[in-house]
Amino acid sequence: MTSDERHRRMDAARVRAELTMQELWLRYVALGGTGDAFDLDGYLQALVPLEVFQQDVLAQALNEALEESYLRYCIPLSTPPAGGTGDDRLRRLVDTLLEDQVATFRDRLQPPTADPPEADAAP
Amino acid sequence: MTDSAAGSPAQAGTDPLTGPPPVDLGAALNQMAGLVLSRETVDTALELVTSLAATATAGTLGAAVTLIDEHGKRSKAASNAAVEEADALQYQLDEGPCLTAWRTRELVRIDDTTTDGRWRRWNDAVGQLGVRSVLSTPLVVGQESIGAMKVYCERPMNYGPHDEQIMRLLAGQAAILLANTQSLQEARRLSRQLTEALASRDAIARATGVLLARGATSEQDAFVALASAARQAEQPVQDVARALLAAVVERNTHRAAPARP
Repeated sequence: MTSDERHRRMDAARVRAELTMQELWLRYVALGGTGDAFDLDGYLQALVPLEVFQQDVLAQALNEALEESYLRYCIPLSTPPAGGTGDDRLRRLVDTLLEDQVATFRDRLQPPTADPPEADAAP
Repeated sequence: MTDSAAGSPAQAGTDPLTGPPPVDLGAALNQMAGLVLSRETVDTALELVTSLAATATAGTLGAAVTLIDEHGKRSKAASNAAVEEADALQYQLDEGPCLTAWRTRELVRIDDTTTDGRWRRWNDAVGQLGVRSVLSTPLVVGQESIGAMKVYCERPMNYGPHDEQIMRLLAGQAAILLANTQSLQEARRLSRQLTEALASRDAIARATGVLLARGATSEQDAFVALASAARQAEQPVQDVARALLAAVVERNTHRAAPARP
């Protein structure tokens, strides 16, 4: 995904998650983003550049919002599925993170999983 | 302390429709000024304005206030069921004195709904509910019309120039009160959201610090690690950060524990 495309997809995600610019900015700030609302608006409209780190924070804010809006539409099953709770998985992941393995942990996850099928695949 | 249903004296005292209503505008205006200071909610303000309008005009059967924001969303209060129904009819039929007062920003008076020809359908409908005379004033703040307040009476020709004057005075104050309460509510909501955002940001910053101490090569590196873990756990980064901090504290506690005899 080119950087050109990235801001466009981020703005599409913002609309999809039904967020106003202010709501998105608040989520981004909550994740540690340091840009102001003007920076974000300008970036999403391709008017000003945004640091790669800040782009990642913004992407995470959008992903969480998308996930929440998706879960709002999900229909729960009549019986909750058996098996371990998400808490166990979270604890294991946290343990991995803490075992002085930050770098290896990250490497193992790279490259990030490809995004869902894209219609605009270049010929 | 139980609320016995058999005639609580406080109830009779607050009912604007029973006792002789003291027309004391000074007290009414003071009460509204106090409400701003005591930071009440929009609903409380609506109820207060409604009951003040009912007590300040003689012979009033009921009163109602409707606020209309820029999205067309309405919040309202009515002193009794008949008024509420009469009010709802205006929006169903999309015609009536309050909608006109709100749109034109001018006071509207109906002396008799059975003879007034301006809102034929609405007049017919509320005539059957026993509403005969109506006085409706717009609530205007600055350049903006934010709604309307109205009083109804079951007798024709109940309201005159004196009531118009009272309603104008009351509406001027009520509009300011309601507009302030609305912006106050909005400000409080924003402040709560900001506080939550800062708490999350704190947790993430501390977790980032922990990862830096454990070998992450940059803040970005640490953030990406947290975000990756969040994706795997299908949880928000904030929760991963909190879990990580809790785990660190737990480990340190364990490490400290064996030192005790």
